[in-house]
Amino acid sequence: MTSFSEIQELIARALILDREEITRTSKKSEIPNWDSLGQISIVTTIESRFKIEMADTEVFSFSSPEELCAILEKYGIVIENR
Amino acid sequence: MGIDSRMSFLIGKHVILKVLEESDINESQWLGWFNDAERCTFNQHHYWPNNYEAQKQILQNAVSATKIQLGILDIQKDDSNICGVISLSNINLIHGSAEIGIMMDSETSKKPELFYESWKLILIHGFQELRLHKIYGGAMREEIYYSIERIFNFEKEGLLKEEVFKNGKYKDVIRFAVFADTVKYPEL
Repeated sequence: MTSFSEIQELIARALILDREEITRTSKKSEIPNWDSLGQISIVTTIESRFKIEMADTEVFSFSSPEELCAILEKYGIVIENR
Repeated sequence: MGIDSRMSFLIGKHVILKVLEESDINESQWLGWFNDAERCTFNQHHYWPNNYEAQKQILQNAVSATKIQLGILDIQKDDSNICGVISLSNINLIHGSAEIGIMMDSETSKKPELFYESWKLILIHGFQELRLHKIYGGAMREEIYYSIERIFNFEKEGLLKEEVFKNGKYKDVIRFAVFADTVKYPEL
């Protein structure tokens, strides 16, 4: 089990932002640095932390922290207080 | 205005890579990208100003024995304005190698499916039509390398030390390459 704040922290680290800039429902268009490279940076940060490899279709499909959490749950990663 | 199908060269789910023509200079922002300091922070442009005549020269050299440069069209957009350009240059049919390069507008670079499908289409063309063996490139930003390593299986070949002078400093360039027998194409 992990917490949403850890997901927040991982996304922020991948995008070189402060954690406060990432909210549960914010869309990627509202988050600085979340461009094509940022998307993959998030994916590689998450994959390395949870030792998973996301499917290509999932890599490109999420556009908010909430959608990312939904994908992670498919890999058995339960997110507390989601 | 719709897309002129005669100019569509490589067609994907999200993008069409089209033959560049004079209307792309007149109607898209292509010319202006090279005059935009921020957009050129991590590439080797914005040293000399770009103008219509210089852009026409680029257009004239867009297709040759050693280069293929194509415009990127977003299929979802109902216009014919290119949102980026992608190229294979320094094509060497003896060694089977070429250099890849891309430039996109900032709105499009927010859409990974457009960015990576453009790479995918030109890589497939390079390996499956031109029978290339190796496609290489360079980047000043590590994030670029890490993203294409993850998506296409590019490998880091080394670091070109202080290769580029940009924004008052010499910058290192990561040199990367992918091979016909190791490339991976993502489902997009």
